[in-house]
Amino acid sequence: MHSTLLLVIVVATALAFDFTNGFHDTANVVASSISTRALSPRTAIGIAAVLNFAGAFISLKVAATVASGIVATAKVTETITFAGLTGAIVWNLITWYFGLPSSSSHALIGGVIGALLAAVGSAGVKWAALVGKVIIPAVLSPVVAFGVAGLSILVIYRLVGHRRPGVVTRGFRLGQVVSSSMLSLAHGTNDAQKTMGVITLALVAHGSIAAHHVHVPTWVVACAASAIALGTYAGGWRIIRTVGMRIIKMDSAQGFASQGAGAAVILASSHFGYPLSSTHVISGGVMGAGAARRLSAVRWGVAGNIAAAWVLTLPAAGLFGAAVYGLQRLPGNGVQGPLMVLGIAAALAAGFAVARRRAPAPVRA
Amino acid sequence: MSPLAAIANPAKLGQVVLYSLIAGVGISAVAALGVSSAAGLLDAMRERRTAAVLAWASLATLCMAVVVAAVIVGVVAMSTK
Repeated sequence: MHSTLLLVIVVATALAFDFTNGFHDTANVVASSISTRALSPRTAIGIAAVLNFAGAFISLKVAATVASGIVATAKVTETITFAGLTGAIVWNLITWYFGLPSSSSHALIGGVIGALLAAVGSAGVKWAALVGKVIIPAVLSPVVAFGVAGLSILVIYRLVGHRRPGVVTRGFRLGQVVSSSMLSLAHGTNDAQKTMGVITLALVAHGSIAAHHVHVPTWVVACAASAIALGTYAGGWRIIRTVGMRIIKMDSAQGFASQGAGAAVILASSHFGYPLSSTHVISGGVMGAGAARRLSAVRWGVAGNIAAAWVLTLPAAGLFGAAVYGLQRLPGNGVQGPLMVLGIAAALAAGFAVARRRAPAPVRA
Repeated sequence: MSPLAAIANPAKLGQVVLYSLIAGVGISAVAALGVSSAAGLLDAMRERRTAAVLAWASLATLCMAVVVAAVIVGVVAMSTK
């Protein structure tokens, strides 16, 4: 009974994480289209939500990597999964508050690894796989996206530079509808799978799925798809402002190049089973599209803050995951720990909501 | 082979980079050619140059077909893994 309640808590927390992933990463998908006015904000977010939902059904390869490729599945318990997810949600909310497009994927992986380290030590982590499948692609992917977007925009300007700007702008705005849609589909394919992977881990820990025959149940796919789509529809306006307006002021051709590069890198890596961060890729693409035109077009201070958040994400989410694991162990090994953490989280959320309601309204010019 | 190379699987990563470059830059180039053709088509129509209209329209249609095909290939590649 307690074990089933714990599983329900873990699955609900995983879906809550998926929701935060949706609204945190929506920005990456829609920011370029909104800032170049290719799409209205509501339309952009609506399309992104639908395609994130659809994308989640397309493939399960990354989910399998998360579920069995990076950690020793036999050592993962439901409380470890819960602590990891909570650590990832905490880091996602902190970076969202500061408008930083950090990686939800790395927050999730960091949180689970941190909790696992606190619980069973380093034997639970497949370090070689972590380096090969997460850390190296994390470093490489924004660089590749930067290069692809930079080359793309140079080619684009060479081909359309002599044409009338009005026609070119309209053409690339239309192109952005396509590239933004592909990006949303790729994002749903890549990111929803991470939550599916974690829920699958919890099901293995619960004994519902055999550890030697890991597969993702259909209901897990449907729930993860719905959660990421709802989160996407909720929208993350703080990060949309950062990605869409604060890194570079982009034209529609740059928006198209950055989104096209992002979609290409995410699709290619997803095809080979690398759980990379769509955030890193798209931010790298935006910077590349700006820098290829003029290096000073990129606000390198903002880019530096984003890069710092990227570097911090794995260890910070890991620390939060480990801290939550330690906290939930205080009342014992059972379901009481996660319930206590949920109680603390609910109290903090209520306090935050009250503080926001009491804060004076911003002065409008 | 160095330990890092053994962990990272450089051949597979290289394929990711290559596929990304071909897909990203290739599609951007085709799309840009399509936009440029569409702009050329509008100019030719305004100036009533029939042969140029046909040429630009054919090129723009071809580019659009390639982009649509690339989108379909992308979706199929995602769904057949």
